[in-house]
Amino acid sequence: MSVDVTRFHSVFFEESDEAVTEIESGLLNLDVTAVDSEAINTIFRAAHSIKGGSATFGFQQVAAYTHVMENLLDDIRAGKRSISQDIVDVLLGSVDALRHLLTFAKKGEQMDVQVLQDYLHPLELIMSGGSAAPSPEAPADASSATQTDEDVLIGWRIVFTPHKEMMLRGNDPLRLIRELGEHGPLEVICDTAQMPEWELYEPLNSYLGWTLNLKAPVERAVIDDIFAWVEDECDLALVPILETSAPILETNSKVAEEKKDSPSPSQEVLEPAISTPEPVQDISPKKAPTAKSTATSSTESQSIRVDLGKVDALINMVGELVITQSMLNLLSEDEALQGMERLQQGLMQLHRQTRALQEGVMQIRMLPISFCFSRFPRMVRDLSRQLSKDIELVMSGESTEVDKTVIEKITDPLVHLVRNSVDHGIETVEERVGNGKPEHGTVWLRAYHQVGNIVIEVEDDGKGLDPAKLLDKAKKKGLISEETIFNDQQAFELIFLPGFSTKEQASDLSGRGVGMDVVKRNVQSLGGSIHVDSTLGKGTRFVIRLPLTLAIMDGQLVNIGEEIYVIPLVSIIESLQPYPEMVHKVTGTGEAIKLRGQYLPVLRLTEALDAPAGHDVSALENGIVVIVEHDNRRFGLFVDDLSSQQQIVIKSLEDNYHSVQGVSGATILGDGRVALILDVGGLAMLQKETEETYAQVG
Amino acid sequence: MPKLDDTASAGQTSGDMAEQDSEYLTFSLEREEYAVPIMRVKEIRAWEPVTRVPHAQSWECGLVNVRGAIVPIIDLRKRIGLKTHDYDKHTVVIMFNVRELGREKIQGVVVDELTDVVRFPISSIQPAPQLKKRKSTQFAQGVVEYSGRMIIMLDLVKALGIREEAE
Repeated sequence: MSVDVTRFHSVFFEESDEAVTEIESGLLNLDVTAVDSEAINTIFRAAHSIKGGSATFGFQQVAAYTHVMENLLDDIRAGKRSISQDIVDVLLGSVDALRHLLTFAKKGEQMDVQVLQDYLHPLELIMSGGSAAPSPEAPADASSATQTDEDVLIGWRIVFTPHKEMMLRGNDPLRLIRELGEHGPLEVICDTAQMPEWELYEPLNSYLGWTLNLKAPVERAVIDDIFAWVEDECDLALVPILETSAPILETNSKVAEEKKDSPSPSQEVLEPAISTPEPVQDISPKKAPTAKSTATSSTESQSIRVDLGKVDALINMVGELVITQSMLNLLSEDEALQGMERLQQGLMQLHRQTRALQEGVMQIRMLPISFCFSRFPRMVRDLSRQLSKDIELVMSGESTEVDKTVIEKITDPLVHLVRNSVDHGIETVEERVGNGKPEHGTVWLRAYHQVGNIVIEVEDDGKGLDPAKLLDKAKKKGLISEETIFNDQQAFELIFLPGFSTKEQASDLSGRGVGMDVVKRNVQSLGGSIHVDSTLGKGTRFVIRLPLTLAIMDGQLVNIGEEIYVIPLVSIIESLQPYPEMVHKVTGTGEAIKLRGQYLPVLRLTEALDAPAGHDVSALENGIVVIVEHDNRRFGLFVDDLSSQQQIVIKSLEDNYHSVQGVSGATILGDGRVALILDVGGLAMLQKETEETYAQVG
Repeated sequence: MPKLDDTASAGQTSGDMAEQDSEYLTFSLEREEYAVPIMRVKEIRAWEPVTRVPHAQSWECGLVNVRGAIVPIIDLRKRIGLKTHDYDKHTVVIMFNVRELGREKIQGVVVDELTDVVRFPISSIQPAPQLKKRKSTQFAQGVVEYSGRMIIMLDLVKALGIREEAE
């Protein structure tokens, strides 16, 4: 039976990435002084599943490497080796190695054997240094042996762990083992580690795993055939035993001794499991209340993997339903229908249900921000070691949910900010002590929801920003003119200017040419904003405000000429109908309004958008000026009239068309018509250009 | 991937060479009959008001909502340089599925009136006579003589302004 497994590769890699992250976070949270056996088990299971998967899909290097990791973890789990900080460090190193190996596997390449050896070395050192050490060459041999085909195949080592439900599906592990035995001498080692407490024991479940050493040089396909029907219902790892890799067998037999040898006990344990003994009825009802291990496992949330395209299609469809619903609502306002109470009630209900449905569907795309935050503990730990700083990272609000796309796009800017805080923000231990600060610095990473936005803060208690220095530097670099007067806040904002980097010498860690301006641009491209505040000597805080989702937003509908456009509500500061005395003509034909002592330039949207004019709105006082803000700069957009405010579904123009200057996207209104969403950033540029042209002409 | 694109664009330009006898949708424009491969047609809609796009080309009418997708519509008369004419009850919009730079897109085209669905072999398509005076011939891929009528094969790639990957 040949099943094409390549289509499962992407799932394997996705799951492996998750498992690697799980190992990493498990290791980071591990308290060496009081080891939690469940934590070790979790790490072990993650490593084990990578091993199983990689062997199944033929990524032998990954399998060989995780095998060594697993051996070490198994020793720890079994209490044969006590865990120390050194071991944690080595294991963390192996996490990197594993990531590296996986990237190779993803590309379908093999890693250089020498590099693999280097990665394996620290693990082997630990293995050989400990008590129950198998020969150090064993794992190395395994890895090299799996690559060279010249070695003589003498058998297979099969690690077979049925999933709990396997027997429920009518598959009998015993039958498979017997079948395997028909091909040659078979050494069966049973792993009873997953056996639950007796009162939790569920006779229909399979709790056992086996290591099967088949000492016959059969083809891989033979073994694959035997397990073909159960490959989805078990973890299966196949490692060829080669003539030169004899030590592997030795290791196994050692494991065998530890885990109670000989095939017979395994069968004994297996029998009752299969033959559904009497006590079933007595046991199962007790299961729920006493279940301690089930309790912990049930807290892991259940999830399914769904193609993002399907989710987006669903969101789109619901978006349309919302449009249809609002269309019906419009129609129901017809006087003839006013009397039909039941119809009106039904429409009200439809309205509520559609909104609930829309919210629910949008929730599917929402993920906790921990997907992004989870990398920081490791990063801060590594960086602070490298810089010999003592830094603690305090995170809060990791479960705050936000759209997947937002998470993807905010990760790099956050990495940059956290790096900056660790590298530039927090002082060295000596400096801190000298300034009377606690020896260890703290970096806070917080996330929380605030009125339809997610706010992410990166704060440190480091040296803070010096406004005088910032101004000095900006002037030296010619970024601002000599005579400009800035308050402290404005000086802080200078760090977001392109070409501004505060540290004199760019270090290895941050300041590799990527500046804060890129961070700001990224945040703005998500429709968000970033602000900084700082106290010299006390610390710096960056506050990023982002929309929860990129798919819907609150919009202000405006009439421009005969057309309807949408202005994102987040950009709007206020809207007003100016008095004639507020309006000023500036140099040539540029217009401005004076609002509370401040002159704000005004952009006429009919002109900017080349729109046919509606009623007579030649004078600003006949229309409405919408004051918007972009990049801390305020200006007015002149429109004919304001219409309603509503939540709109954002559609891309580029799917079937192309991007248009001053327009960020489109939406569909209640009557089914398309309305364009104005891009305030783009209009700001346009406004600046017109201003400059006027200045030149004038 | 490039392979897929090649076949798709070949289908657009040379009128599905692989098929022997193909079906075509025909429509009229200034009393002339044009044909497009029916497999490219997604749907046909009556003319409805569009949303104008700022700074667009003169022949681009604007955007409409096709079941949640924002679709651009062009006026074929303006595109191929015929004199404009008011939209009436016969005016229809033909929505095409096209492939541009490896991505599926939808684009709409306004025509005077639908006329027929016809079937003829590809071999009956002859090269279009180059009539200098008529700008419209540059959008013709060929002509077909079909039961006494002359039908112009519209060059969709050119008419819709589809960008193709450099060969």
